[in-house]
Amino acid sequence: MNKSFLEHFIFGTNQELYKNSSHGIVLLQDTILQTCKYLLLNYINNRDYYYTILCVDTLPIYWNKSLGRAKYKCIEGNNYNTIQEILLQIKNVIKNNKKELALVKNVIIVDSVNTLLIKYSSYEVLSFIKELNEINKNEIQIILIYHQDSIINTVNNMNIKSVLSSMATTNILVEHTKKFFQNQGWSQNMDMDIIERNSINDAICSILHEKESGKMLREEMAYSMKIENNKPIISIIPIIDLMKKYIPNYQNLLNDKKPTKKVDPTENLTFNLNLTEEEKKVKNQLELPYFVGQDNNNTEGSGEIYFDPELDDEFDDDDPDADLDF
Amino acid sequence: MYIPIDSVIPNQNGKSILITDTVFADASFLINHYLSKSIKNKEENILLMSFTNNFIQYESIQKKMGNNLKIYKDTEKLNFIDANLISPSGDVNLKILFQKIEELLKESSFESTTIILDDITHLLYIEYPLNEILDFEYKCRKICNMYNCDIIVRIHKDIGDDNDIDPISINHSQLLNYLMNSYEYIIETNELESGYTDDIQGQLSFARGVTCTQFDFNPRLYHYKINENPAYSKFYAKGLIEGTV
Repeated sequence: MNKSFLEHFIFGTNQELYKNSSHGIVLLQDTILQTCKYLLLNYINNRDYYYTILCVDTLPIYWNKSLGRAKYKCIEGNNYNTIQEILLQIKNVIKNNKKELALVKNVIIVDSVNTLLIKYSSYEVLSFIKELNEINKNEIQIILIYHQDSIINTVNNMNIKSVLSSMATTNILVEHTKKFFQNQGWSQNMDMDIIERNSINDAICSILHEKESGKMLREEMAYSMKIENNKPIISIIPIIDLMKKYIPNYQNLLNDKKPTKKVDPTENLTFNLNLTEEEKKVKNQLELPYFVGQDNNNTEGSGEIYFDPELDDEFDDDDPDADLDF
Repeated sequence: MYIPIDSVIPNQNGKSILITDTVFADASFLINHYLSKSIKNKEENILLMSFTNNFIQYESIQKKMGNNLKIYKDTEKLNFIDANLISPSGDVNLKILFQKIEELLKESSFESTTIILDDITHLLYIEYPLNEILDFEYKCRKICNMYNCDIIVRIHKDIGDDNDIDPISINHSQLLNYLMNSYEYIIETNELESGYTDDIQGQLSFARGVTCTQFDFNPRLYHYKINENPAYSKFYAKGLIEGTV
């Protein structure tokens, strides 16, 4: 069984291994070259949850066309004047679900945080996210779509992405395969045409997930995609499969990654710590005066202690324990 | 009309197209192309909202393309909205403009409509509040979807350096990113990667947008040279013209 977190995130295959992955905040990031929506659609269509989708960028029609039999409701951010009204509407949807679909888990999707940050202050948006997280805590999962390439201008120059990353239990970054390889320095000459954006073939995901124990899990996995009945269907694959596909000399890269020589700590010093051959010879021939076993080939000892007192030492032959009465 | 590029984007109604261009690779020819295509289609009418050009400029170019816009102006076939004097607090503002679009679509008797917004960058230059621009754009996209109309929006890609931190540049970056993440098809014009040449004016690409649900769409890349007479305009698949990379 594939134990990758990404496999579990999409298909729910390793519940025992990733116990806390079904609640909390997921920061799902993408770039202008590769959208995260294909991954998200597969998550939605593979998990039998109820989805409340806050549409700020895309119209509800996109979700209507893309979601198969998934249960969902779209809330259009544009229909409300304040973020508090949006929050109230989401809470009402969750409340109604509790009555009618009590056993179904709820997931809230925000598409996207970037546009919310344009329309409202960063304080309002962060409070909104926090309040979403407080709705039936430990039962609801919140997925925030965040476009990494969009500059977010905050009043106090706060690094909003860092704040969102730290609030999230799971951070997933979806990158265009070729761009990922270029960033790694594995393929400087790889041509990436402008028309290759939003590839429907494959992409690479970098994941950082905080486990229940507090330990951080890092993972880099890829997915390949095929189209069935006009729907994108992904399979999780190791990155090496994409390396084989896109990088002709990938074997050399793998070999380069292996350490071939030990690191010499004396390499870059301004003083000499090494011995010449002659010095090594002299060192090996040196007789250590107190090392009795030096010439003795018999390595087994009797355990006897050899004590050679000096002139100033007080040597008493008497048994120090003689006055003990037992 | 430019026949080679007509068949690239699927011919279904209700699609959203974002056109981005640069200073050295202007995409006005595309706006005129889609305007001409709609004029020639008897079952379609057009709503052209211009933030930078006046009607005469479109009229003179369309004449060379074989269309007499004068006979259609102020009829249901061609609705031209001059938004050059738009201002957040003036008589011409985005709320009023949206109301006009809504009225025209409600009353339209044509089978389909194409709405063109040319070009939305101007709203940033006049420092129109960004959230109002986003609201207006979202509402336009939504109403187009309701009435199964096509929407075409043009925005300039390069209004400054990538490192500019003035409010207009930041707003531009945010708006561009928002549009790129909301539209189905993205048409870009760019200068040639290898430099300038007399034979080619630029590079034209048709790429998949984030919300594209037509997975049989094939992205394409062309080199182009536009002539005043469309019959003499040329589109080449990249790499097929001698001497050009």
